[in-house]
Amino acid sequence: MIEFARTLAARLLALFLRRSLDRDLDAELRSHLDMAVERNLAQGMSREQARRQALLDFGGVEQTRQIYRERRGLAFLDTLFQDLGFAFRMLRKSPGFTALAILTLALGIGANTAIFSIVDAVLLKPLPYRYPERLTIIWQSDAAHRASGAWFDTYREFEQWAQYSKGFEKLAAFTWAHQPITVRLQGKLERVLGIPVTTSFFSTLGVKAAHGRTFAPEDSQNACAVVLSDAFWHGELGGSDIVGRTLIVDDKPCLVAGIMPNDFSFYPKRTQLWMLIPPQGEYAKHPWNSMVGVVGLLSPGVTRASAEAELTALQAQVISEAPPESVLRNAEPVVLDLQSEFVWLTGRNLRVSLILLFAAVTFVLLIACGNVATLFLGRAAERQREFGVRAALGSSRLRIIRQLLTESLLLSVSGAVLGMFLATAGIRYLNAANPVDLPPGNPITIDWQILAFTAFLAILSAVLFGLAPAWKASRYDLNAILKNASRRSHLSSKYFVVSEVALSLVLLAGAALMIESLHRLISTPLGFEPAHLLAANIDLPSKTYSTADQRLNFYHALKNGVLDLPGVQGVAFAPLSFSGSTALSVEGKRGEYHGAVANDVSEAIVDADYFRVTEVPLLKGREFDVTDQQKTLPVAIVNEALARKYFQGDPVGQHIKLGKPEDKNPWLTVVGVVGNVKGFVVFKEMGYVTDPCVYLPLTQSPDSRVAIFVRSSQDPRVLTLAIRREFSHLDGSLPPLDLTTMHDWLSQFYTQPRLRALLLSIFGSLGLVLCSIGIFGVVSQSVAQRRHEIGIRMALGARQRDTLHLVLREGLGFVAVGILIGAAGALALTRAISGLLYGVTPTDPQTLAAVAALLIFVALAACYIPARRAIRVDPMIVLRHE
Amino acid sequence: MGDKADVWQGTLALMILKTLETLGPLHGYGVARRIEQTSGGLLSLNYGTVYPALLKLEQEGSIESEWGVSDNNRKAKYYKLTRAGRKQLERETHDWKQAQAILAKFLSAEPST
Repeated sequence: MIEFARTLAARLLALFLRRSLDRDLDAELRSHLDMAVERNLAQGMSREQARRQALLDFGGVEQTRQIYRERRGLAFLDTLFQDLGFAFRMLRKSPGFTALAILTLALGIGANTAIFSIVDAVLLKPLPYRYPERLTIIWQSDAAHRASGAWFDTYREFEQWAQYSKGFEKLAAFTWAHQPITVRLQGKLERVLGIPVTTSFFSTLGVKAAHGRTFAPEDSQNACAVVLSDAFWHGELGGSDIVGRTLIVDDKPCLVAGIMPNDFSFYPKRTQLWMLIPPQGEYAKHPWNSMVGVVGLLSPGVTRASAEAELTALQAQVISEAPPESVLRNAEPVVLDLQSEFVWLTGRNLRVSLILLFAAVTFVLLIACGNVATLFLGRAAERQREFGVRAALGSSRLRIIRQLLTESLLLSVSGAVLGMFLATAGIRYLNAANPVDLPPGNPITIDWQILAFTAFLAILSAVLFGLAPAWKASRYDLNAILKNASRRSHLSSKYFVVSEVALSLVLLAGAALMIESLHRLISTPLGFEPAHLLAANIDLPSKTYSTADQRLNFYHALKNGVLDLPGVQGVAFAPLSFSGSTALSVEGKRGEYHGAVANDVSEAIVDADYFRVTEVPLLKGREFDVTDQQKTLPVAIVNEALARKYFQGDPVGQHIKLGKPEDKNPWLTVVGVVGNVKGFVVFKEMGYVTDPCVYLPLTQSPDSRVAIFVRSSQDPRVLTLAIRREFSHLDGSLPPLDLTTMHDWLSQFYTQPRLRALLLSIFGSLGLVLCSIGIFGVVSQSVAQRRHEIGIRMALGARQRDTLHLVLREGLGFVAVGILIGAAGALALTRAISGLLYGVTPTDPQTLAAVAALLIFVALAACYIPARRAIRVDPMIVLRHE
Repeated sequence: MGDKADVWQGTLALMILKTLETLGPLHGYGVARRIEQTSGGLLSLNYGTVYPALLKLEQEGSIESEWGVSDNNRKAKYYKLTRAGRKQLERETHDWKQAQAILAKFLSAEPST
């Protein structure tokens, strides 16, 4: 062992002292030979003879030197340095090739690194909590149709579980199903994203505050306690010293218990503060009407399935206490992995999208490798003579392969380094601009794992694009090369281009399907006119607006004030979004539509101008009008979907009731039927629903939560300030209106499909460009190699057109093969993304045909330039060259 | 050269060590000649192969080298045994003899009839 260490040390040292050690060896060998010569002379040989004999006895000075050197240093490193030096010189000699190859690889590796860092943070790395593998989230789900979605639990169920469950070490409730929260900052009311949580929330996750502390049992003594997010503290509060002081939240002084660390996040990611749900507060008073989510830390060794069974049993014990209208009777708890649930909550298709994007960038990298391989093969052909000479001088085949692989590695590592910069820039953009929501948990960063992945990619791609050319280059026919006989084999570069074309086609097909889906999704008519429409939610506090008249007066005054603004065409009140979950009873059809299946009716409270302002067409009967007042007959308008589902004939004049027939709600007389308005599906990203809907007049159900809709004649954004001023003018104590255009509001639902389509298009175009470079390269090579043949053909009377056809036919031949293979691949692979599509099937023949046509067109262009060069071949020059 | 034996791998080092023990500090040329002479011309030895072997021994710390002046006033690199080298020689001589004895016994066994 000591010997080995000594040897290694000596060898390492030798690496650095190479020059002087070489001189030393030379001197030693010289002295050896001199002594031998001297002895030979003494034996009576002539000087010439003596020298010859000395060399013979020695047996190969140069070989000895080589063996000596190899043994002296680390042979492997020594040759590596040699190879690297040579590779560097070779690459510098052809800067165009080098730049193209490095750039190609940088794009491929950079895209891979960037996407992988997202995949790693979101899907692979465990959540940055104490026991991530045991953390779960618990929802209610329809036992018979689990895939149909999940809902909040009630606080009562949480209490029951928290008290009796043994399968969980800790349970905590949180919710975002509550009234918006306001905070008073420097005297001004601001809306904040606040999440009520129970005391055990932070300890269940096993996280600590950065300043102060998280919630503790003694906080339930305070009227209110909050924990702030780092972003909120730094941003809105300017990082002031606030721990232990009070903050006015919802008009109540709240103790600021602590501030969470910068890297802590939970769903929703942008949460600004967490407020305590005290054990004896509002939630405990109305436990069946308080909707919460539950996060649970499983006891060690307990499976999710057994925990689920336990919770189901516990829930069954209390479900009979529940008031009939408050729970979904056939719901059962589901225990889900917290990380997967974060991903699902953030984007219904986020997991698939990330995997899809990762597959796409892998394709890009493969195309890039194929491209560099063809470049390499082309160069290998040019360098045949060099390899031949090296072989003739005694270079082994392995040595030549090694040399070429070193060159590949040098290229791929340079590409990886550049790619790393691209990836870093991309991630910085992602973190700064937030083009798409990513789940809470791990921040997207480049850490050592990502670096290792990139290094792996560099080596992998070097092997991918370097091995085949190296192998091929080393299979020389020495005689042929040295005699300069030209060889006409570029078969393997064709394989590469065929695979590039195939991969590009799959990539482009995916991109095209995404674009088509996005287009169809956006251009689907929604049943109303979103252009020139502004909307904002209004929340009237129950303290100051306790009576129906107070609320109606406020709405009335606001409407008149906004209507007076120039450019305003109409103002209406209605909820911004609504989805169905209520049962419907129809008079005379008692008992027919009971059960969960019929819990699909949504209700919307709208004012008389709503249908006119949003341009929802009235199909039958009348709209609401001034005759519908609090004391007059309760009326309703239904949409077409409801009319079709619940009535055979004309619903106008019929009586309906929200809920079951025995519920206390009043019977409503249907006065009109309007067109369907499409809504977004909560549990599915790509698609719309048209729930049966009952519209109630605002005058008869004066809700405190509505949204204001303003229709303008020109760009509605110019009105924003004036409307907000009008609003604050009416009541300065209300938080300012958060007005958005309907287009902006709708576009949030398209963010993910849009980003997906955009990224896939970028990757697809990248693939296409690389592919066209590859085709160009191979056809150019082929033309260069066939110059002689083409010259003879032309001398024998071939016309330019024939030559052009010859070249194009050859080029398009393998492009066609690639397209066929790619089409088969696309048909097989695009099925996996059917969930990301809308209005187009994964195997849509038109899309595939369009993509193939695009590829052929690009290939034609890529072939055309070398083909032009081919027809300019002058037979005289070529033949004279012979 | 047909009937001359090649130097077996590993034995060259032992021969070098023994030579240095017997003759004291010596240059590469001297070592090579001595080995050839001792073998009575039975070994075919390229003198050049001595140098990598010397290097290996030096790296392992069995010998050390120094530039000196030869008998006829020539600059030459002299090698000499170190203490570790002496130990190695002792050990390897012992091992070698043992192996030889075993092999001799083995080969002298009469075929059983």
